[in-house]
Amino acid sequence: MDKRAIFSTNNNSVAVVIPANGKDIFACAKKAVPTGTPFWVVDVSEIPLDRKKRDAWELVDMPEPDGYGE
Amino acid sequence: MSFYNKSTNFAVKDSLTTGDPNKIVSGVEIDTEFTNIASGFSSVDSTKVDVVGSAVADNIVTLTSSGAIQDSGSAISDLYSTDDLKTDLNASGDAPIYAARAWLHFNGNNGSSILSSGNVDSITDLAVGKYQINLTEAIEDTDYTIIANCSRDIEPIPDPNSGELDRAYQVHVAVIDESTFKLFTGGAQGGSDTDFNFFEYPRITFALFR
Repeated sequence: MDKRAIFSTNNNSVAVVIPANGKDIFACAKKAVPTGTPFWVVDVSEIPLDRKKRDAWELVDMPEPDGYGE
Repeated sequence: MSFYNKSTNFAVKDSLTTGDPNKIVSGVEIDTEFTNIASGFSSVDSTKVDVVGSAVADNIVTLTSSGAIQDSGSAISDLYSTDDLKTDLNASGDAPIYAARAWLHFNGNNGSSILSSGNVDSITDLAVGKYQINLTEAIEDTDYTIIANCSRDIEPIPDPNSGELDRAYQVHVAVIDESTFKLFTGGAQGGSDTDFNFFEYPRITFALFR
């Protein structure tokens, strides 16, 4: 519940995978993220709460991904 | 465990030569074997033998509290019938029951969070008012029905003169495949604005039927 998976969408925006209660974030991300697309697992506190610029979010200077969509 | 022990080895008699008195199978030997068999059966504890007596068609074999098998004397329909199920679900009449195959209640505000769900693996927050629902178990095809709703989750309901109620709380559904679909939430701003705008709501719910 305290983890999220983030990935970049086709239009360079950022999508956030939110697992249901009790679900493993890595398993959820592999299933929810498009095949071959890298994702990163982050703490929920790292997701900005201010949604005013939500549609302008983008991922920059990201480290090695935690996994890829399957 | 064996309840019968053989007294005579009849097979070895085959290797004896003709004329050897031991080659003869005597009535005494046979009688001894039958006696052994009868004795063996008598030693079996009949309470350990599961006997289903007076069984009739459709009867159910059940286990007793001590683990023995017995005839329940009941038909399958007597144990739990379709009528029992409908009664338990408070469904009267002849109309059938169709259960939801997935459901969800999530807060779309401030980054979204799933509050409760069934058969939902995750949701993907795509943008303001745009969500992808990822089911745990796929539906058999894409001809499923989704009943969705979004609300501000506030009380009392806003003053009708405030313009707040002019904003239509709409949920649009886009089916992608057997295990994923999208929800779009929003509506018109109200007043002269009739365009659809994406908004987030603190209470977004759906139930899926097939």
